[in-house]
Parts: sequence; structure tokens; C-alpha cells
Amino acid sequence: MRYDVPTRWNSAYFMLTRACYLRKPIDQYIHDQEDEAKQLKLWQYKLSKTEWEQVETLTTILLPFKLVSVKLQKTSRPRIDHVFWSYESLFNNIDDLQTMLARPRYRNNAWTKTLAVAVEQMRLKLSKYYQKTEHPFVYSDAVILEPSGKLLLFEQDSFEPHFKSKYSYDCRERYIDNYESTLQVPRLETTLKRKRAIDEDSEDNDDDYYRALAKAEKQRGIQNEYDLYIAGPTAPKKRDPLGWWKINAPSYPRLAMMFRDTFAVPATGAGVEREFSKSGRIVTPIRARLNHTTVTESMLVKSMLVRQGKILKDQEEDVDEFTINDEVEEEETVEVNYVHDLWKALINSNEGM
Amino acid sequence: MHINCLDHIVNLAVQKFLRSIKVVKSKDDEEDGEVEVVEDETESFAGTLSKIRGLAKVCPKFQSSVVLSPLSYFARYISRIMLTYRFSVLVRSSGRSSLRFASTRK
Repeated sequence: MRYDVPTRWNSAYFMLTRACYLRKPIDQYIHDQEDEAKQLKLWQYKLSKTEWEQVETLTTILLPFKLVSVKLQKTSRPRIDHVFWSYESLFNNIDDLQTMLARPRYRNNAWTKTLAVAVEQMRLKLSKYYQKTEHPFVYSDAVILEPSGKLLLFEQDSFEPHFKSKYSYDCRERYIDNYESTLQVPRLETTLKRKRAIDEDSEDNDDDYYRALAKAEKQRGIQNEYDLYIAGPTAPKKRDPLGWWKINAPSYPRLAMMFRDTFAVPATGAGVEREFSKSGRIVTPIRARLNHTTVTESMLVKSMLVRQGKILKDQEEDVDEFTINDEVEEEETVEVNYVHDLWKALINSNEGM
Repeated sequence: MHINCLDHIVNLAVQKFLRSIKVVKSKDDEEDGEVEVVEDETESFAGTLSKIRGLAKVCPKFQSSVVLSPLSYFARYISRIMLTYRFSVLVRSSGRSSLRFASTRK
């Protein structure tokens, strides 16, 4: 069994999931206890059917938050473009919950009233911080510069129609002010002219073709790289934005610089905090007199080895620990699948009503 | 420009939710000790969670002790005895140990 710790993220979720997973063994263990004194002690912890229902409901409520939290903690790729999407999915989940709790089937339960108030409190807390995302433009710019989605988020039902044009216009203005006019990069026109000169050497004269292209672009309102990017097709799903921009940077050199500046902003401090935790593990009580440069270099070497997929095994004794960790991960996978099924069942039961 | 950590925000929202249903304890109650079941609030979230916490304290290795059948318990017990026996035989048969035993005899 796991115990929840207020300072540890998702610990309440993990404790509840484990309890759900071990429901039958727990009941059996309490029931089969031979020692009367122990059984009497354990009997006070026996959960009724309603209480198990509460545990399952809490687990399903906390699951979306756990998924968002875990997704954002990863540092394998920039996540700033996920912030708006995460808010969107969390608010959608909260809306679903509130709709579900308002139904007659749940309204009559005494404990669902408490739950409804708590869900509202949670929504207010999220809203408080969501309002703060209005001012920093990095969130909206990141969403637009993510090549698979572009303006897709602002087309969702939760966004008012004018937001799409507003965010797009603001992003375009920032691009023009900070990148279009100030940065000196090989211009697209020069490349096109050079290409045209090469083509003119050939027998075909495509002047009309280039003129028609320029006219079509003008008609479509394409004046710069931003317009060209927005008008272009979206990237295939699940493609890493870094990889897409690496390939397409020659086509949008200035916009690629804007992308680099925007995506350099971390969405969470989890990655940095994890790095600091590494230093704590290097400077142990038996290695307390390490030079600060040694600590820095050790941290860098460790990070480099992890990036190359070579995880350090400090001692041979740790092998058991690694095995145990693998087992725990396997258990967690089973539990997460279990909770996913619960969540699906909950949604299906709502749809059925 | 200040960029909030979204993970912390998610955690704050969850903590708010848990406090609203009185699941998270206040700082005064966080001292280590016997977990008491909240008796006044039967079938409340606080009562349910205190029961689960109580179970976690009473049976920290619950899964390993429950999921295993009595037969596998027995098998594990026997294998441990066999391992201890083999190890003791190995130690006694090694040259260094025979010397040590010899010196003890003196």
C-alpha cells in the first residue's frame, strides 16, 4: 500500500489507485484474519460499498490531472505549446464532471453534493491561474508555431470566434516587429531570383508562371513568412515540432528564429528541479567536500550519459533496486489501465443516461 | 514577464479539491502517530481516506502478503531454509573456514 504525502505530486492519486487495485485482497485479508485482536483493529478500516464507490470516483476525477502533470514533467521535448491544450482538456474534464454530478442519479447522493462544491473550487483555482495566461504571449505564440495544430485550438468551441483572429494578428505583429524587419537572414526573394535566373538560362521562359504565382500569393494575402506558414498545410500528427522546424527552417528562416525563442521557454519548473535533485544525490554525507566544479561536471556527465541511453549504475547493489523499479512500473501500468477502464465506464454510463 | 509552472498549478488545483472534501489534513494533524478513523463523518470522503491511510500504515507490504497464496508462502519459506543450509555447507567446506574452525578447536 502507498501513503499520500502532501508535498509529493499525484501521491493521493497513487494511494487511491493502489487501494482500488487491491480492493478484493484488502477485504479478504481483513475477513480472514485469525488473530481476533488484530482483526478487531483491522475491522475499523474496512470500507463499505459506498466508500469503495467514493474511492473509485475520486480516482477517476484525479486521473486527468495526473496525466497532464506527468506529460508536462517530461523534458524530452519542449512543452510550452501544451499549456493551453492542457488547460483546455482539464476544463473540459471539469465540465463533464459537473454535468455528471448535476444528473438526478448523482444529485440524490449526500456525498456528491460535497464533491460538486469541491469540483467547483478546483475549477475556480484553475481559472484564477488561467486568467494569468492572457498577458504572456508566449503561450498563444507557441500554440500557433506548433506545426501540427497551428490555429486549431482557437477553433474549439470553448474559444470565442474572435480569439482566432486576435491571437493570429498579435502573433503576426510580433513577428513583423521583432523578426521580419530587424533580422538579416538570406531572403527568400533572393533565393527565388537566383532560381529564376537559373531557369531563365534554360530554354523555357517561365516569366508568366512566376508572375501568376506572385499574383496568386498577393490575392491570398501572403506578404511574409508568417502568412506563408499559416496558409501552408499542417504537419502530420505526432511529429516532433523541433524536427519539423529543423527541416523547414530554410523555407521560414525568420519565423524559425521566432520558434526557437518561443519554445525555449519551459512550461514547468519540474525539469530544473529534477536537475537540482541530482546535485543532492551527488553530494552525499560521505562525499560532502566535493568542489563545486566537480559537482557541476558530474551532473553534466550524468545528463550526457542519460541522453545517450547509458544510465549509470552506481553500485552492484542497485541492480535489485532497478529490478524493483521495473516491477513497480509494471504494476503502475496495470493500475493506470484499470483506471482508464473506470473512466471509460463512467463516461459510457453518462452517455447511456 | 512571469511564466507560472503549470505542474504546480495543477497540483494547487488538486490540493484545493482535496481540501474541499476534507481529505487533506491540516498541518497540526500531520504529526506521525496512530491513524484514527473519523467516526463522526460516516461514509464521508475524509472517513474513507483515513481508513485507507490506516490500512497503508497497518499493512505497508500489503500486496506481497495478500496476493501470495499460502502454498507460495510455504514454497518461499522452504527455499529460504534450503538457501541458508547450502550457504552454511559452502562456508564450512571452504579452506579458510576449515582453518578458522581448526583454530577455534585449539
